Amino acid sequence: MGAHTHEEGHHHHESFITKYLFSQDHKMISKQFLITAMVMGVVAVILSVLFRMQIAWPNEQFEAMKFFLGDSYLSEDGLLKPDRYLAIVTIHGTIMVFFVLTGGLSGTFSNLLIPLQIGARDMASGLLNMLSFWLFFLSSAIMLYSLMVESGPASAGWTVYPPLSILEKAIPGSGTGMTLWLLSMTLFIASSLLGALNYIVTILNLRTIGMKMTRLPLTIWAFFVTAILGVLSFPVLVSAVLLLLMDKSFGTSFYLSDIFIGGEALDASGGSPILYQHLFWFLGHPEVYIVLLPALGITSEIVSTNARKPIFGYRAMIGSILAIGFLSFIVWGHHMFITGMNPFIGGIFVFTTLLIAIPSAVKAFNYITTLWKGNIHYTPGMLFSIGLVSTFITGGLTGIILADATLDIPVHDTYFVVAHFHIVMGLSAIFGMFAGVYHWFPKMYGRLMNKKLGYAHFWMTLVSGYGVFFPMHFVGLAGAPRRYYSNTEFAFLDHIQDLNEVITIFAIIGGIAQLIFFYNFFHSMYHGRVTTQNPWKSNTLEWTTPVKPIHGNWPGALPVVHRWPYDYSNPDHEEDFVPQNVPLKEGEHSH
Amino acid sequence: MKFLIVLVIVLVIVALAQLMKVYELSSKLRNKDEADVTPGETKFNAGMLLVFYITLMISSTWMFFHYGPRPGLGVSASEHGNDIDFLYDANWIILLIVFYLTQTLLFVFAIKYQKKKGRKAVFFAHSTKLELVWTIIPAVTLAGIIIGGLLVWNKITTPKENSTVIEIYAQQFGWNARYAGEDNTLGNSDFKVIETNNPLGVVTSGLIDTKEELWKEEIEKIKKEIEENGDLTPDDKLAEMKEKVERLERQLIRLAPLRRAQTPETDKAANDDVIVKELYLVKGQDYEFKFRSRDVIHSALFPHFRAQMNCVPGMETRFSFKPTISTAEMRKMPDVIAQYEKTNEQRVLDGKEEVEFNYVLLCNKICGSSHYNMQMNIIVVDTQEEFDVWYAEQKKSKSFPVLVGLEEPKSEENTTEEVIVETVVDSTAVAIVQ
Ligand code: HEM
Ligand SMILES: [Cu+2]
Ligand SMILES: [Cu+2]
Repeated sequence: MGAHTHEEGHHHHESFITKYLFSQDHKMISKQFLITAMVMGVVAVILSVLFRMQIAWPNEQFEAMKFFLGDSYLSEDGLLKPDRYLAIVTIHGTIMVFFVLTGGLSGTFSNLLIPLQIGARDMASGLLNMLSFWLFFLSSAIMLYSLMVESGPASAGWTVYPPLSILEKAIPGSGTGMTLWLLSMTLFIASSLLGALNYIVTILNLRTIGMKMTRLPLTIWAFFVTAILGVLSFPVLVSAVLLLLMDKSFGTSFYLSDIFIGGEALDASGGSPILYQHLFWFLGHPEVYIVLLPALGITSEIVSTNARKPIFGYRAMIGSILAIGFLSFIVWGHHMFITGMNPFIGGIFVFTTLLIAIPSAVKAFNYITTLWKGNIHYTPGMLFSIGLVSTFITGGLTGIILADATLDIPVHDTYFVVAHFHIVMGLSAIFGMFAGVYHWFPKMYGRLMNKKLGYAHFWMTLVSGYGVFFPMHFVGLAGAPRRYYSNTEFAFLDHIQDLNEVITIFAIIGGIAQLIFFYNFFHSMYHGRVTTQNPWKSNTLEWTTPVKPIHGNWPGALPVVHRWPYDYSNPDHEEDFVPQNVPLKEGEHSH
Repeated sequence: MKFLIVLVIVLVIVALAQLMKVYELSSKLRNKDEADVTPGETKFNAGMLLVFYITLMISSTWMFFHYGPRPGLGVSASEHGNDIDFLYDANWIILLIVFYLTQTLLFVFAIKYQKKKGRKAVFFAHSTKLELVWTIIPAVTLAGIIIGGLLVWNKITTPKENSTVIEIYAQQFGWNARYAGEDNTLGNSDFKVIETNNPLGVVTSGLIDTKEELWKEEIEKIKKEIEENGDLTPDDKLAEMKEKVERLERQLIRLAPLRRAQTPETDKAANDDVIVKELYLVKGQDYEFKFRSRDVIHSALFPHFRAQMNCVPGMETRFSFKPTISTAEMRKMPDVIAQYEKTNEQRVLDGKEEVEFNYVLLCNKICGSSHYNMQMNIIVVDTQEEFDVWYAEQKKSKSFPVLVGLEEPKSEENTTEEVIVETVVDSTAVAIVQ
């Protein structure tokens, strides 16, 4: 641990290539992840605005469609084609869930914060870390490229259920586009696994002196459990994806049986499309927590710092993270209540799923109590964290409806589900990501982001976020299925068309609001105010490193940890914060 | 246009940059710490939090009252649907209380404990008692929710006796329904014998015989062709022919299990099946629906009946329900009348035809380009007599399955052109009928 010395940090000049491209420094890799994810995010947001326009104003031509998508996506009369509508919905979902909220979120913050907050010089393996990024980059590039192939990208929804995703005759996107999707996802999973293994090993082995597991910041706990979830569940997705590839390209029939399409009966027999769903959701449900937990960890840290109070119930928070992590492996069946599964097994999944709501509730209440009698600094990061708690509550509550198999019957696969998971992923998890960027930007670039623009960004995003996804519940309750090119074919849905228009208008506003963020981000990178060493007066170790990031993180010896990370407003101390490396006073005992 | 868009974006960015410059200069002059939240900013954000909180509370309440838990779907048209609706209402009450309570606590604390000069936060790190409280209260509430849910779940998923069996068969992009006939038993079916005039692949022994004969003939024919003209045929054509022979031979082998499954009873069961394009149900009758799909996964969603079930190729799924309100009755409900008046007003403005209330079955699992328009009309009639009239009509009509081989050979008018066109498989079908 302490073996590295001073020298290593400084006298080390690198070429552009080793510094910016094939860097093995965790801070650089973190920034690479973030910027790649931001680019992917822009694409996904644009796609979403385009398909929302189609839903709100079907049968209308838009220059924007032509501008962003090009002719191959449009029919002769200039409208978005129905199968291309499904294509962009699919790619939007895939990018957001995997590239932005999995690769982007964990890749950025696990990389940046794990070594800095546990007092390590770098990740356990810099090389694997670099590989992890480049696999991520490659898979991102392939995913984007697939948007441009002639027959269209994968179009069977982000869950790519077979047989639709296998049979090119069923939808053109299941040809080349789907092959590219599978290829991209395989690389993506490899990247995630390399990353996750690295995070686990680093956290277990490279903690500095005094950094016991029970003194880890909650961010690290969240990243730790997230990485474990990833290591346990992603391999299952690999197998699901490989079997799919075999069915698609090598004539096996793991997922196919009794299919008559394009005027002929296929040879495939004996497989089951439901098998795929089990494999997929065995990953898929832990995946939603892979997305959410890092955001919760980030928020715990930011809420505590900016409320100037210890996070309430530190141990209960760790317990909840562990409980959620464990339970998330035994609930996947709640995505399959309507597949004709044995009702008894359905009942069991109802039970396990609703159990997850308990640790989730504990977390929500602990956040709220942390605010109580605090001294809250409204930094942009803090505001986004408050936004996260609000949306986490809203989205968690609709989860309870969906977890009840009986109540799921009428709303499964309707916009109600879309509203639910966008509120927890599209709002909560994204808010956590934004909060993290505002809060740790100084650790990335040695400068601060502009606060006023941050406020503008936050308020526009919060309002438009709720404006998009709250009304969407009622669209779903009215019986509107998701992934419909338009609702015009069903008169009983006519009456929610104005809701759909409102939603789209908010979506456009929300999309524009992100321009403020981008501007702020890139502007502050070069012109932001230079930060002080510990701008938020925080306790964790990253704020003891020099303002200008260096290799090896600390110029001298590694810091030694004496206390937990949440000594805010400790009555024994004058200042309202006590960094972790401050020794205990006489008679003071550590928490 | 493209140019305009780019221009606007550039202008916005330039304007922003100018603003930023002014702001930065002035803050540099005042030597401000960017990390520090000023009293002005605190006041602004606290105000915004308050406004947002009030807006969220008012608009969410308004939406709940305005749209209700089942906007536009009215009362449940099925028996179990009433239980579901009741359960929804009970759950919403609990969840809304939690929603208002927790959001209020969150926003009130977030506003009340805003940064104040000289204020030091209270060092309050944990309280076992409090944490127990909010572990146990959710646990108890959830236990209630789980029990309520599972009771209804069991009721819904237990099949009723004396249910009328109907098969719902999905394909890209439409539905067929098969009534089981007098014996209430569906005949066997298999995807391998699907053809235009046997869209569900209903199987009878006679059908298998004819198919076998036909395929054998076809194989012979092609083989002979290859033998005689093989040298003159281009390679790709030849390969195609050979592949076709192989395919047919495989299909022949795959017919064998079908034959083994056939008995006189199953033949009889198949023979009285009736295939239709519109679903007629009788009010007050229990139905057991069996779902299958021919190509990809579809999902049969009956929004007005609070029913849904996936249709999965290679597998049969089931859902039972009892309709309790007929189409005619539904059309007379004040809510429905009001809603459709409004709908039609708008439709007239949009130049669309006016509509009446109708029950409908829609596809709710992404299944391809026309997923959004995969529907079947459902009509619930008040009496068995009304149903019988319709049913007799269906039996006579063309959509009755051509149960080849067992059925009396159809008169010529049934071998219409629409059957003759299309693929090879269909031409064999025509041959059978003749
Ligand atoms: C109290 C906690 C939660 C419960 C009880 C819950 C329950 C459920 C259930 C039962 C479904 C399936 C609904 C259906 O398809 O009919 C679902 C869907 C989903 N949930 Fe949650 N959920 C919870 C929290 C979360 C969180 C925290 C996330 C992510 C951050 C999340 C993401 C998703 C996603 C992505 C889907 C839909 C996937 C799809 O079909 O495309 N959920 N949830
Ligand atoms: Cu789940
Ligand atoms: Cu369908």
